[in-house]
Amino acid sequence: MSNLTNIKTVDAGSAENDNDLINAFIKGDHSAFEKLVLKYQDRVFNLCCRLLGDRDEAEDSAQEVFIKVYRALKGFRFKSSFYTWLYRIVINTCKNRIKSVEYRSIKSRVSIDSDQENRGNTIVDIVDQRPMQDKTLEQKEKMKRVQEALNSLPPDQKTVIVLCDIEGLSYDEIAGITKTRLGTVKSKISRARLGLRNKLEGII
Amino acid sequence: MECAKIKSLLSEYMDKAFDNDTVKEVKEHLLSCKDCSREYFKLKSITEELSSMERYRAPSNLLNKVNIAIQKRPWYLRLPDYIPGSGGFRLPMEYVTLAATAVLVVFIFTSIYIDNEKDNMIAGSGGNRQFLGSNTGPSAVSVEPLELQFIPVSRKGSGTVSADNLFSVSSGKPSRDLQLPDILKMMDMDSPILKNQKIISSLNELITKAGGDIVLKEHKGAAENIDAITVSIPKKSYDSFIQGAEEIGRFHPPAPALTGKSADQVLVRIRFNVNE
Repeated sequence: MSNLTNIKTVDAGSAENDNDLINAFIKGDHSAFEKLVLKYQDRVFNLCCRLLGDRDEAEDSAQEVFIKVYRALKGFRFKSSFYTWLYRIVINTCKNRIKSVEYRSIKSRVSIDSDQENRGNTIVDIVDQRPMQDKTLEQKEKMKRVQEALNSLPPDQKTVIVLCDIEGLSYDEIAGITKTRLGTVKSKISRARLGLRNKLEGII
Repeated sequence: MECAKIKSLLSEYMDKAFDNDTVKEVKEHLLSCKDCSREYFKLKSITEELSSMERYRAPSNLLNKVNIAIQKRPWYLRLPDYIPGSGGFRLPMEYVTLAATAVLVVFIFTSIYIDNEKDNMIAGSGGNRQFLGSNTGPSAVSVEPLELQFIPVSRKGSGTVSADNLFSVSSGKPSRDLQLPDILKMMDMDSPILKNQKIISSLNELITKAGGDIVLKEHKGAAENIDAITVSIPKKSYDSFIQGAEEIGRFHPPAPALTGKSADQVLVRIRFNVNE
């Protein structure tokens, strides 16, 4: 089964329902937690994939995210929406994973292997391994270049640009998730777009 | 507006993040300037490309893996799951939980009693503070799974930490005007320290007790993910600080006792979540 879809699977506006599920979980209903996982797993996984650029790492990170959610959910204070809180956990988990020695060693091995075809389970390869019938080779190549350009951005810029242009979040939401000022978010997004523009010159 | 200014505004213009006047001004410029207009469409095509990127779907067995990982946790981490009203269930387990809690309470009290006895023995034999928390001697405080690490900061290039080479900041103002509550607000919500009210209140109390003379000099980690702070402590508050610190964490390397030659102010780094 393909792991790709063009449909954004979760409606971020369904906060009330999330709160009901959280309250049910606090009262002891484990299935409420499972409903939250099922509801958000695609978003979490996609975000991990885009931030880490590696499918295996993304899968491990998504799992780690939901385990953290399970442990912390009883202490959820309803001060922010659940998905804002969840995204913050995703970003911090990915950030820590990138920092981890293991991840660095994997990445260094990849960088030594400059041949694109040998890049293990990188997102680039996922695309290649699961070609969509309605995509031309040219489009796939373009997608590959875009992901590579994303991967080459500084982590903070990559985070905000993924949240803004891929996840479709507003500046305010991104500022809340990353706990940074609105002005900082704007300038990081602007710099990230300029960075991508330079890297993708002649491709897009 | 000049082209350079317009170009710097294009990203926000695309997201309609301006007031109407600025939008109008940029729009008019784009209509009359080919160069800026070309730049705008390049940026726009990049954002369109990003927003139309395929979305990855989670593996179908993700929930199953999460459930297995949750069940595989050690028994003491799963204990709250069984407490009614905190996400738990299963009546017979209530009694198991009660029994386990009782055993735990007895164990903790016994540990504290034994530790106090050790403290008395050290103090009685004329031992100085350097023995507390030392790797070579018996530990004077019980070590929690989650603890704070207090690190005496030595001068650059100094080998072992001693009273004479503790880094001094006798002059100068704190680099950041931040207090502990501000730091906690800035920390990662997922940080284990935020879940441990005992540590937070103890740390607050420790800093307050030292007379408010302790100031934050710097913090390590991004603003949203602080994992260490450095505080400066006046010489006169040093002993009471160490005493309080050892109740909620441990000094590593051990805190050296100050001498007449020691600096007026010393720096101590406090690391949160040492075991992560």
